[in-house]
Amino acid sequence: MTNPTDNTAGKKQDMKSTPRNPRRALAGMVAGSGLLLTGCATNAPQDIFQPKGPNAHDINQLQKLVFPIAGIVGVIVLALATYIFLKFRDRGQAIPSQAHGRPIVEITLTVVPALILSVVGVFTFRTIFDLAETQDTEMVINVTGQQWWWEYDYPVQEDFGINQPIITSGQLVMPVGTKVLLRETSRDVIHSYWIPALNGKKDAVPGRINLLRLEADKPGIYAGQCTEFCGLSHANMRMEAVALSKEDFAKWVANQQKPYAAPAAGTLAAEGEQVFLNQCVRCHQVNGQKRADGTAVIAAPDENVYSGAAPNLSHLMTRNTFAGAMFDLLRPACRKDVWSAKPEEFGAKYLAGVSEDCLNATDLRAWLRNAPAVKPMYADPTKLGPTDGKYRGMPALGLSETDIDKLVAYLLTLK
Amino acid sequence: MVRTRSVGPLEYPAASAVALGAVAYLFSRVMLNVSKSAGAALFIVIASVVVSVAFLAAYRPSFRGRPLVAVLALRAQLAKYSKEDPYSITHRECGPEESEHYDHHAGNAVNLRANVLATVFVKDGKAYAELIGIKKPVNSITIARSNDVNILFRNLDEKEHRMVIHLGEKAVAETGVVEKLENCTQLAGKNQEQLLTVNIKKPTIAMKDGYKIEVPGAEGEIEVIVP
Repeated sequence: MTNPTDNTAGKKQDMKSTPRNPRRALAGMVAGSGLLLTGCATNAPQDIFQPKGPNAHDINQLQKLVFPIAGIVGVIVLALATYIFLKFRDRGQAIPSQAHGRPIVEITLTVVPALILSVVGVFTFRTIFDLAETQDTEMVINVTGQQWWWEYDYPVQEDFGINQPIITSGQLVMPVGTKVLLRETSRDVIHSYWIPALNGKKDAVPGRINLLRLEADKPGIYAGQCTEFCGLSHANMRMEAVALSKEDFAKWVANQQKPYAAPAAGTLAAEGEQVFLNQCVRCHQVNGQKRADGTAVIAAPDENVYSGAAPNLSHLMTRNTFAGAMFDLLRPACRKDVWSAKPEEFGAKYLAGVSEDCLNATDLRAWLRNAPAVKPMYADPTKLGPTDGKYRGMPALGLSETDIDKLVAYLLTLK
Repeated sequence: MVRTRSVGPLEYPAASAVALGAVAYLFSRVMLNVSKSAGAALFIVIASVVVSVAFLAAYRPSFRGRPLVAVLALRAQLAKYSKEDPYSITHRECGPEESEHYDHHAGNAVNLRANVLATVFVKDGKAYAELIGIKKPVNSITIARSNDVNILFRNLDEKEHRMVIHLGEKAVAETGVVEKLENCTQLAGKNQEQLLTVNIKKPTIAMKDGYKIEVPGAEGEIEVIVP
């Protein structure tokens, strides 16, 4: 009777017939080297290994412990596996005698990992509890995610001069050295809020309020990214946390609470305000805006947008980004000037807002001309059946170039 | 909203079990009440009908969809009408309890604590709110526009109270009569709690008198700000 496992000759033939492919090996090496080289990037604003606040420092300290341990264990396991694969590979030799039960080995292989996991567990749990601490909160900001932008509203907090709620989007502005508690939720699907330099991720879930604490050591801008797949433009759902000194934060708060100032009559901006009232106000609110008869202008995003909200554009030009922080409101040179400012100069540069000279008119005009062409969104009016005719994102408004000129002039007045 | 999220998923299996029980019960009544020979004939007829319908459903797709489509269309229509009339959703009688049949002995304990934006307390005849992250009691809360928000009401007073949220006014379409829009919890006794879910579509500036929460019979109002 033929031994079914005795097919050594066939295997040897197979091994001989498999040619080595040096090109494939080279490609693998290049890809692996490229992956390693990404660790050398200097312009990496979302680098998790460059913490800029105590919460991110805690996470970094934990990874300094866990990664080497995991790395050493990984290397040992891979080396042993490779050694065993090579040393005992099938050369047609007889199957060695099968032994079962080596108490010393089995106890060692149980106790050593248990000890390692216990050490890792102690530090991990301590960090988790530290990060979950909310009793020492100094400031609260409500964060609401929706496809594909973040809204921030600041409840009344007189300690920070916030006497009436502030609402903004794209950039979260916070004071330095302050324990800020984000109360996260979502209006449509699950999103996840992540500013790597300041803390870990936290999901924003419809109907739930999840808490995430942020604190920044120094003034500056810290980039982030939605990290829960949330639809077509998930990759374009970005955010930035802007940390200002307490004095500069007070100035920002005071500016956000300034009443609306309509553009002077007869100007291009005044004509732009009319375009805004005819088109944009269906979804976008500008607090304090009034119609000619003196009635307050109330946007109706709940009637037009699936999530029920669109970014409030009050004081738009005090922000540096638009369209869910996908685009910069500042031209590259001006943006670089703000991003690379020294901490002591950062506040003044950020609070200067967006001037006409620094405006990134190219992207803003492209957005106003045809928003879905520059950011993928569910905004085709012929395909809105599943959402009862409501948009997810901003539709193309069909504005003329003249209207866009007027609108840009008007938006520049929103400071 | 609470019904949709918490009870909704249980409704279909519960209703299916009841329907199945009803069918089994009815079958047993019929079988026990007809003679052996008549019963055989009756069930041959019923089985033939079932087989015929199943055959049609299997081989004529156009037939298969019709009953289901009809049921779904009816359901969609009902859902549409229930959504279209916000007055019926938001308006409740929030004054003194006039009904003698409300659940006076309800547990009044709420388990949705992770989802609560604000907790409104009434204690020693005074109403106040507490917010996650803010240590001292507040007399204003901020609610994001067009978002479901849960507000917990906890009665620490000796008397029974309910929490009422005032959401402005609305003209009734048929009559033009302007009525107050308000929503409220059930009455809660001492140390009991109730949850109210609200979704406010318009910012505070759209309202002449704004939005507010109060506890009838207790001092203090809590301003609700929708930025």
